[in-house]
Amino acid sequence: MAKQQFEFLNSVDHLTAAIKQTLHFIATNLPDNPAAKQAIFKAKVIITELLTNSLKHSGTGSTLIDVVINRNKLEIIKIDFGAPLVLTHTTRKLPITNDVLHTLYAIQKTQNKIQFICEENNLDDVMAIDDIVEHFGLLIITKAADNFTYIYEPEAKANKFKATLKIDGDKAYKSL
Amino acid sequence: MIDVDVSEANLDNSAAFKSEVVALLDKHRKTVIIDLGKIEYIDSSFLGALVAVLKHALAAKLDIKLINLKKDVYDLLLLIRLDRVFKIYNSYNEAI
Repeated sequence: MAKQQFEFLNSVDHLTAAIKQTLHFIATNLPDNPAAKQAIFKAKVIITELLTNSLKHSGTGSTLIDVVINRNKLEIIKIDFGAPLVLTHTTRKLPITNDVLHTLYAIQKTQNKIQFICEENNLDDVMAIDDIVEHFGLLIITKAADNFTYIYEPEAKANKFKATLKIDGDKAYKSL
Repeated sequence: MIDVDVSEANLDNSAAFKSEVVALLDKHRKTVIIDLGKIEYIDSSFLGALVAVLKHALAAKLDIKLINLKKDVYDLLLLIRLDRVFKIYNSYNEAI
């Protein structure tokens, strides 16, 4: 297992360097083959959106990113101590966004845990371009990851966004 | 044609990009070809700006074409199915 924590200042000036630094750690712990390259691409878009989300919404000075690489999965966990997401308890499957391309849902798993899932919608022959949402952050992470959850830890007052990618252990893991 | 002359297309430049393209559409009333060939990192803010300018163009009976996308940028558009709403070409010559 390879594990490392990165701390980033929530500034757009540090964004690309932060992405590169985290990806470098991931790439050095995966071999050079197509399965790993696909995992690195997905990690790139996930980290980009997690950090962008922090810049926009966390309201804090810095963000932690934990990266854990096991034989069969890669976990990317963003931790911040900003205001928690408001979790509704009115429905178990709440649509967040909906357009002709996708419907993005938040599913309440426990009192303090949400899982994001996405369904692809059928396109009509006549495209409803005006209908397409212009906010793609959560959608990108949800589609890139095999599992994407938000957990609020009340005692630590921590928000944790956790994206998990399955990796083929025989093809995509470098022995450490 | 618009050459997006940045390697990092993100929330730092997405609003300015959107304003410039909308202004060009309104001024010239022609299809705009956007060269994304220099972009290494693109985020949801910039993708949102691209969709916004496409909506603006189509409302004015105009169009947007994207060219020279690097593999990661193209793969991201594929991931969220934006390849189905944008006209994407390998080169300027292919787009015209």
